[in-house]
Amino acid sequence: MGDPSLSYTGLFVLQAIASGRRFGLEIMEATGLPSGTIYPALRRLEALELVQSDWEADKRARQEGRPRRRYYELTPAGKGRLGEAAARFKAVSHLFPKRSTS
Amino acid sequence: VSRGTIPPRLATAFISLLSLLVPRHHRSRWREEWAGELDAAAEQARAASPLRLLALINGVLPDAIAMRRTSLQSKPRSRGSRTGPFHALDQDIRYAMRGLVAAPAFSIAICSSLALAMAANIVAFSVMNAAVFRPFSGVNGQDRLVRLNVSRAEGRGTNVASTYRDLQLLRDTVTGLSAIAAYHSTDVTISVASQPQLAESAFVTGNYFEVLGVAPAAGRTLTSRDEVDAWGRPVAVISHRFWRTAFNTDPNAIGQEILVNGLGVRVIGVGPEHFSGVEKGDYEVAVWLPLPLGELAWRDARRQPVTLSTAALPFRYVGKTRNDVSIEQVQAQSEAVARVISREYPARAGTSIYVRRVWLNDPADNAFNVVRFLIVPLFVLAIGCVNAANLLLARATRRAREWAVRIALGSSTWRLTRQILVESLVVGFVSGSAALGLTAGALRWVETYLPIPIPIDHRVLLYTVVATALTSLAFGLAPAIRASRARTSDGRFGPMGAARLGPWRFGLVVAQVALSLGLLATGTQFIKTLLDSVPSYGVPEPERVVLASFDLDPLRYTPESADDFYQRLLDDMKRRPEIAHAGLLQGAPFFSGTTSGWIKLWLPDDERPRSVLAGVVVGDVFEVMRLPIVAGQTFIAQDHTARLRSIIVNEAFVSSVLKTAGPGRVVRIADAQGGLATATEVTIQGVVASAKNKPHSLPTIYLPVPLEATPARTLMLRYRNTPGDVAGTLQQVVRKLDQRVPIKKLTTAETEARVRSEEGPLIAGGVAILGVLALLLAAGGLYGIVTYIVSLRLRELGVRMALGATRAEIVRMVLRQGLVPTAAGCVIGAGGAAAVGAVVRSRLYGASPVDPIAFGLAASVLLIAMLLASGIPARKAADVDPVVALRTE
Repeated sequence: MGDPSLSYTGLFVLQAIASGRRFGLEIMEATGLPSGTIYPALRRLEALELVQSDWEADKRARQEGRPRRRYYELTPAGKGRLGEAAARFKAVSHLFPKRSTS
Repeated sequence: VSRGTIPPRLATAFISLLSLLVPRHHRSRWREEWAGELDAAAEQARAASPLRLLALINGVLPDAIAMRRTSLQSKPRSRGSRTGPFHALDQDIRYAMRGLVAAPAFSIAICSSLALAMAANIVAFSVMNAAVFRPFSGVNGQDRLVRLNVSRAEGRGTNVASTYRDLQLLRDTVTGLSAIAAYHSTDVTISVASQPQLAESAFVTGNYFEVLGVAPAAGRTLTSRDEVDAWGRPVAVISHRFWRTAFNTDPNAIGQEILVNGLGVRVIGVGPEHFSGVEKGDYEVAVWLPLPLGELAWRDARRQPVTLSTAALPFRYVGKTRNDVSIEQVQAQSEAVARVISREYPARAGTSIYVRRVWLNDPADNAFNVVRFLIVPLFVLAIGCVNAANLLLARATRRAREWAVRIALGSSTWRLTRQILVESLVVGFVSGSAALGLTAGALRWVETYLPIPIPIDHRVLLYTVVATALTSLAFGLAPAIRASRARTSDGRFGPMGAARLGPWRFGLVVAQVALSLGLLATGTQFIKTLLDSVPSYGVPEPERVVLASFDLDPLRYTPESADDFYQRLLDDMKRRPEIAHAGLLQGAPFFSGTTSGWIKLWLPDDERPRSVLAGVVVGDVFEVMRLPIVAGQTFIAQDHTARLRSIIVNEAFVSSVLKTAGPGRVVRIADAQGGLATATEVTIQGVVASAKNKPHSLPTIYLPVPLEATPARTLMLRYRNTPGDVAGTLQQVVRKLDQRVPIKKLTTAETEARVRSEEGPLIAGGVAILGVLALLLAAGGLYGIVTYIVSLRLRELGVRMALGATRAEIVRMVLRQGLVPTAAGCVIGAGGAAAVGAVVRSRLYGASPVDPIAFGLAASVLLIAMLLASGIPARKAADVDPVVALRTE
């Protein structure tokens, strides 16, 4: 896989995940970008191996009687890319308020 | 926690559908992820707006596409069998969409014309659906409701009178029904906040609402206790519409007291919106009252009050069948009741009871009407199909070379045919969706003319889908067949060889022209009929003529006190300076809303009675109508007080009944029930001019005193100038005479003329619109074809011009190519079109047969449109620069 430069959307999504948003809807709300942008961006970032996904623990979802959620997190490469970008665009790290990941 | 609400369920279905786009090995995980997202959104949506859910759903399609793209990039494409008849269908669909986007003018032309034609169909079907297939509004469990019609043949007619005892018999005997309700509707005077008005009411048994499964919009419905205690504690349920008009949808209406024919009645509930019972024509019911209260309004044939136990009235019955009981069983049980009635009451021998399902219009009886109603829109759709087929064929010609290449590369004929069919399906579904949008708008307009709601329900959607699929096949078939015959040699000689109308397209243009001509002729005829009937009502200055009708019957006036009331009303109005003439009319034929009365009339030496229209005139009725006395003399004051001795007839009566001069002749008259023995001998003392339009132009006689007094009359006023607040002054005058009397109807001759002419504007307007639509489709189609042929013949035209052809010659040549099939269509199709027009007119709306003027007009409009349609591309062709044209190939 080559190293195509990160789009602003990609950057926003990475930053949103880094600040504790874990699934599509949360990212969508934090960034304010339409869902038609967020999900394709997630696919692309995953294909670029900048984010990885994992399923919510089965037990918890079953207890609440709802489908499992798919959680995204940054890969080391993703963290690296975000760090590079943050160095270039100072404002990026202040984009979204920090959030606990519980 | 309600996780299964409708929007998320719809969304889940949508996601499942789109997951087909996602590569198989990702599919289930993709679906699960979206389920999780939806769940999270649904949880929040309870706090926030459901719009958020929609915003989320927007991302599903882009995501599915992104999923597809990323996985295709990372993995080698794995395809199914290359030999299956449907492999790579998605490719065809995408190819078809790309083709549409790449040729926007073509796509818009074809889709918009199809969408219009389909919208016409869906609208027509929606109306039919609402009138025939949909259940009555607000009624639950309609499939188990049956109507029981008690009737007895009497002479040539049917007597539908029934008694309260019949209901008890039915309830005792017909065990197949779990409950039977009875109802009877009639006019009453309702006063809300001392504002009297005439309204339709239904007197119903206490179980009526329960049998119909009606849930109230507010308050409660009637119960059997309300029926038992009807006089002790009178209550009423009002209709949703009445709630709106009389109470301004005020929730406090519940518990208020209204006066029904003078009796104080408490409002206990409001019926659901659009609910008006299970009877066609009961749309105006304003109030439901317990059956015993009917004694407030019921009268026998002699207008004497009757009681519930003695009333013989057209009661109607509706029953709910038990679960395992068939209609036939109920019918058999009802026949037993009919036999009991026939045996116990000799006067009612031969009574029969028919049991039928409750329908607005029984689909079985109305299949023919449905088809008739849909014929015209189907014609238009046929034209639309022909048009689309034409355009697609034209494109197919251009693509002959593409196909030749594909065949040379080993493509199968099926693959090409399938491609065309997929393309037409895509076009069809794009047009179908647009048509649904158009339908929604059109229905709003149609709904203003009809008393029933016309929703787009699942039947309409199903019709749309089926119509779309069939339409797509219909117009895709010709190009597909052509494609299936494509050969590698087709592309070899360039497009010059295909630059003529082949037999296919020639035939299609002819068919299109013929169909359009038929519709256009019909449309023209309807517009003509409309124009004929609109303004020339025959009354000069109709805006100054005011008609106010009254009915004192619900107020239990005696004939003498009614006469007195009307005389004082007339005198009061005559005294007002702004009024030039005033008169009273009873049972009269001038305007709708006044009860028209037919009486029997015998000429001397003729024992056969004739039916003629009769009206009782008091005061200046003829002056109000500006109808001059043409012979003899008009009534004088004594005529109105003395015994009935003389009458006035109109000119139509003289010319078609008497056949000789009128004044001085003697005839005998009797009311509709009377015979020659009891007939009154009267002398014709004058002849008045006939009014210009039906029914006032029919043979009519005018009496100075009634044969039988009725308490309903119409006050006719001619103002000196266009009047202002007529209602206000009139109400004041009436209220001074009797506070309880409502004005039944107040209108001007002008409005009346307009209302009359609205008899068929919906259908006439619809057909006219369809006719114009057909013309546009035909012209648009021809324009497309000629333009297309010109583009194919560019090179040939260039050669011709290079060889010295003049502009005029080129224009003429191209024009000929378009107009020859048009003319052929007019000629060949004239017979068929005339037949189409005749069928549509006579079968549908009982209009006159083919009108040559309308037909000629339609044909010339069509020819002009076609001339324009082929003239524009012809001129363009003449502007071709030969050098450019020759270089294009």
